[in-house]
Amino acid sequence: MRLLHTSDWHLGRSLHGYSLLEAQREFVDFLLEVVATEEVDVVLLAGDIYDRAIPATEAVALLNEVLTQLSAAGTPLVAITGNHDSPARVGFGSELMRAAGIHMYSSIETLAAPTMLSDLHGPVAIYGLPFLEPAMVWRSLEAQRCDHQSVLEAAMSQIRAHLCGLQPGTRSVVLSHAFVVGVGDQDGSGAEVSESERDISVGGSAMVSAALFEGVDYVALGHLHGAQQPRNGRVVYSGSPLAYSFSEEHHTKSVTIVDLEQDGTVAIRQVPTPVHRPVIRLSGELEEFLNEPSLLAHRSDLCSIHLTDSETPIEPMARLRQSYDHVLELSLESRLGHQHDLSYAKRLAGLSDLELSEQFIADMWGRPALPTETKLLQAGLESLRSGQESSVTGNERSINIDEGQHS
Amino acid sequence: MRIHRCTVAAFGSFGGQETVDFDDLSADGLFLLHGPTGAGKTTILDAISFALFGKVPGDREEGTNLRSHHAQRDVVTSVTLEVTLGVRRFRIFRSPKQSVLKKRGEGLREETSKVELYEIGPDGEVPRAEGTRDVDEFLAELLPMKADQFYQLVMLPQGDFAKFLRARSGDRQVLLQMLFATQRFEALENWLKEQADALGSKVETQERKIRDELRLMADRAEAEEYEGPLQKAGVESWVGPLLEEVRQLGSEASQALQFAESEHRQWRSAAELGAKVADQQAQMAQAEADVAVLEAGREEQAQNIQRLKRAGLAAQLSESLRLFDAITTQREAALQTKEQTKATAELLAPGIGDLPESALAEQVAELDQVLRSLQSAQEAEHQLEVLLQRIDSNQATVATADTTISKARSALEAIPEQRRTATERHQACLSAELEVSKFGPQVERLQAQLDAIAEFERLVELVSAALISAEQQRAVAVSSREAHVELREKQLDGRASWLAQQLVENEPCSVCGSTVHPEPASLSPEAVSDEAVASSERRVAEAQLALTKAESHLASCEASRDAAKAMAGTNSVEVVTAELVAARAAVDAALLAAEPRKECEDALLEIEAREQRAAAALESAQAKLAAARETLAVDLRDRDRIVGELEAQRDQYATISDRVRVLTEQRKAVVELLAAHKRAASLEDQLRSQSALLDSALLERGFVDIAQARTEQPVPGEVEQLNLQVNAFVAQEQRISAVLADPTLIKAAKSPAPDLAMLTQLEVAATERLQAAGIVTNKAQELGAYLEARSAGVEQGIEAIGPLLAEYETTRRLANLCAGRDGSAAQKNRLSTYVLASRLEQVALVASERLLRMSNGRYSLLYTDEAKDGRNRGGLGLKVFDAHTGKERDTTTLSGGESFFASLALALGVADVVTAESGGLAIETLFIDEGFGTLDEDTLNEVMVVLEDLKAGGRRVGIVSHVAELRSRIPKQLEVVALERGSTLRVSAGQQ
Repeated sequence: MRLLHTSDWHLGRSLHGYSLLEAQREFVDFLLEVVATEEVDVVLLAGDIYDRAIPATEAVALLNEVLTQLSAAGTPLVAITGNHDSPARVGFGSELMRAAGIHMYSSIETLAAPTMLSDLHGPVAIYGLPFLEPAMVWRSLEAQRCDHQSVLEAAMSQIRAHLCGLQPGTRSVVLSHAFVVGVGDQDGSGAEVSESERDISVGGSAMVSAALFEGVDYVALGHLHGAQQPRNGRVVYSGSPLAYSFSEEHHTKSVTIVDLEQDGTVAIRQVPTPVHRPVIRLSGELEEFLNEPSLLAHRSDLCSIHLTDSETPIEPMARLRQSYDHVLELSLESRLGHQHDLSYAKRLAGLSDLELSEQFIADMWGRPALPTETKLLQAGLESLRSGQESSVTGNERSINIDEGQHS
Repeated sequence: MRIHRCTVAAFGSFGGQETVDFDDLSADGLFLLHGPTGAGKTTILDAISFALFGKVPGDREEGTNLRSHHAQRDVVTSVTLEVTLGVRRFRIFRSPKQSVLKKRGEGLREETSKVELYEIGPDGEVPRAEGTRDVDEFLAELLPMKADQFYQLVMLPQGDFAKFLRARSGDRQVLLQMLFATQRFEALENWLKEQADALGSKVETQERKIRDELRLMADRAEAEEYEGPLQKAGVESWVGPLLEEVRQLGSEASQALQFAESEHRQWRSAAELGAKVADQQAQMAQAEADVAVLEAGREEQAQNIQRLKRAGLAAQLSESLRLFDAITTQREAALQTKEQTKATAELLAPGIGDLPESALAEQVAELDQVLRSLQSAQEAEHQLEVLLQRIDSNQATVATADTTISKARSALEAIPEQRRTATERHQACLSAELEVSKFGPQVERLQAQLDAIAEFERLVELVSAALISAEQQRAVAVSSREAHVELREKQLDGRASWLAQQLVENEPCSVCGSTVHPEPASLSPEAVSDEAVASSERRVAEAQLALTKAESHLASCEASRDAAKAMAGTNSVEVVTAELVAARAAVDAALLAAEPRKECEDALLEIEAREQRAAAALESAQAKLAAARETLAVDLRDRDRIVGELEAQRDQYATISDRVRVLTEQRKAVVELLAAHKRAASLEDQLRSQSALLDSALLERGFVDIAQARTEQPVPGEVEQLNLQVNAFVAQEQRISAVLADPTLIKAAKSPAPDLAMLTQLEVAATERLQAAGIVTNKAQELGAYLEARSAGVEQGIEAIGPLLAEYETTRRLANLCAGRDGSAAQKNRLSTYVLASRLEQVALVASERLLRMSNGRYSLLYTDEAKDGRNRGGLGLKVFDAHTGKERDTTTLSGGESFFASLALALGVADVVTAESGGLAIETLFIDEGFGTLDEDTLNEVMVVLEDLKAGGRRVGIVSHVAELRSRIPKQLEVVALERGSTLRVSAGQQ
């Protein structure tokens, strides 16, 4: 059976104010094309269908179109809601849509009601595990704790229980929308995270281990926007079809084609999606941007520009906009330079009282504080700290001239 | 500062009591307060503000307005807040002035405002402060923010969130000063100033000391004072010449001294010489005079020498003479002794005296022999004595034993009779005791009877008294009842007359209805009040009560009386008394008889003992008798034997001892006589030889006989005296000749006599001059030494003052700089203000990071020192830098939405910097009341990303908003539900 795995469409999203709807429309067309040419048996959409809980009407219209087209083409769609979606809204009419081949999973009620398909080799059960907010479902799922790991474990145990009851040899596919990391990757450092994913941490943790999907033939994941495989060939993120942040400028966006064999093995390949407008980060001096052909080549791309001029340029945005169509982000080295040098903590920690006073002297008199001055300040600060008067340091010899002696 | 829990009661829109658990709500960092408009979302924030500061932000002031209109009248408006400040956890309870229902009775009462603060520790709650002023003071220390500042940074209120962003420099200063506690820098400024002042005065003191010293020097040297600066060079140049002058004077003076010395020496030697010559001349004259005297005494000298010689010779013989005399004396004595001893010996042994010496020795030997033989006899005699003694004692013992035996026997015979007598007496005592026990109870019974009779008589009297009083009470009761009846009648009469007064002609009577009133009752003058009736009633009751009491008392007395009568019996007092007396007498007699019982018992025991003793004595005496008799027999036999033995030895003496004694005496006398003979003989020999010696010595020395020699013996001391005289004469002679022969003296005698007086005069004058010169020299030297020493001291002083001056300079400059008064500084900025500025700069830096993110890299915050209040001191300005234009903008030029997230970034930045400052207050909780509606979707997303990041840092942000997107984005939500009876709260977790 041939599956097409895609996720994180975020219909209706803008990138720093630039609407991506056009690009998303292009992708939708592409998708329908691929489904036709590759003879895809079922489309898996693993969550974050919309970008917002209450999406804009154009986004809704676009989804409407996709679903209608897919249904018309006879290709079933199995989808789950993600953390950006509003389950109740997206799940509207899901029972009615089933008849049209659109299977929307948006709640825990339908965990044990997979979409049953079959091919020459036998049945395939496709389970939909939508994004679950732990605080809302952990009790009804009888999870051990109120966090993602426990909740998903509880959900998976339900799915496994149902799977056991099926005919032996049934292949299984699970769609899930979560932050899954490889087995043994404790802190998620092996995962590739983009700037565009929303933080879903609960109780300080967002991650779950790939191990909890043990026993499933293929796990179609959504949430991370970069295509990656926490467990090679089995647990796979398809990634978003478009770049949604400048951190994804180098990603090759794609959809994932999965061939599910008779014995449950999978063959995976990626099909790159069209790039409506490339997303790129550029840096250089303002003059370069205005004159360099290599930079000017990007004039119609979606640009995040970092000007490295040492002196603050005048009206950089206006000037850049003359040559570049889409300057979505602009930052100036001259203002930020020292900010990048210092770590946040260092910036915060600031200077000690003594250092501040010395800085004061340096600023006022244009030369660093002399050792005598530093000593004086130290003495003052200490005495104030201990609440007592300290005597003046230095050479103090009392002079007693009357007896012609000195001490 | 972290908010844990807040409970409101009858506050704002909440009619009842609601509790918000912020710990639970903000577990994920962000939480949302939502609900319909007017439901009371802001009220929750107001409650927190009220608990901390006693007022709410905005125009709504404290007071009765806070009380919920939905509240029940008996519920008190209050807020309880649990909050952690620093590391300490507190619970604050505050209620405003309000009117509540009284607890007892009807109506409202004013409840004054109350506030209590407790600290929550491991052992529970401890009250820390009470009352507005104490609590506010307490909180001010821990939370260095006033309400206004709170609303600018921690609780951004609706519509007013940009206050800090847009504030003027001076206002910012107030807020930041409190937050960053820069008072210590102000304290440092003051401290520096004080140090500078102290050093200044020290320097002054030292300088003055040095100047005084210089003045003293000038006075002493009689020179002009030194006016120049206190530097080594200047002082040296002043002191130098002075010293020179003094030294000059000194050398001159010493020269003069030397000259005077040599002069003086000259004149002195001249005078000495003159004196010497005069002396020598005198000596010579004297010697010549002495010669004459000497000649006169020459003859005497010769005599003395002669005499001396003779005396010496005589003295040599003195010893021999003495010896001769001594021996002569001894010989005489020995001859006398001889005669005496002879006489004594004659007495003891007649004829002994005539015996020659040789025969005496033999006599002695004989006597010795006899004595030896008598020794053993003497011993036997001793033994005999002892024996005789023992015999005597044994005989005595026998006699004693006999006596004892007979005594004991007689005692034993007497015993039985004695025993019988004693037993009889004992029996008598026992029977007497029985008598006592018989008569005792009788006495008691009779006594009781007597008592009862007395009692009865007493009670009879009591009964009669009680009767009387009962009668009296009865009378009182009756009279009071009658009085009461009268009073009632009067009252009724009165009523009637009162009714009568109400009657109006042709109007119906209230009693019978008739309209005609022919004879209305007249008004009685006295109206009787209900009270009077009541009191009369009371009196009746009281009287009744008293009567009852008296009657019962009477009854009880009568009862007692009857009982006593029964006890007393029928006999009269006299009879009973007589019986009692008789019985008592009988008892006493018996007691007396029974007394000696113990003695009788003792006596019996005594008799037993005596019997035993007598028996024992008898036995022992018999034994003793037997033993003594035996020994006696033996001893008597021995005695007889010894006496016989000694007969012979006794000779004619009474005892052997006597004989021995006499013989011993004889021996002694003989021995003495012998010795005396011998001694006298030897002395004769000695005398003879000595006189021979003496004769030859006399001859040798030229004395005729002993008598002459004796006469010419010198008297004590004579020899020494003569020696002295002779020697003196010789010496004198020698001396005179020496003098006369001395050439120096001869020469001097020939020279003329010097004029001593004149020479002495000259010498004295020279001495005076010398002294004067010496004084002058000393003075000059002293002055020089003084000046030198002083100038050394002054130089040291100046050296020491150097560093002090330097230090003072440094300190003064620094103090001025820190106080903003240094002209050479780049800015006239105080240290504390500078610190504030640097803090603000830090804040801007930190805030900019978030601001850049929220504005897609466009905006950042800048600190500027532009003073908006016109003075040139550094200000605390904030500006916005627009990356798009590359220019700075005033904060007021931002749009509504931009101002919102800029204020948010600023608030977070301040919180970060304050928290990171060591010892600073950790601001962990932040509230944002609305404002999200001003943001477009993308910006809202950016802001939410920034806020969601906060939970990583432990920050908790509470958002009040109605924006729908937030409802689906923030899991933890608190919904304010508006009901008719006021609002309530509902915690939900999740979307819509």
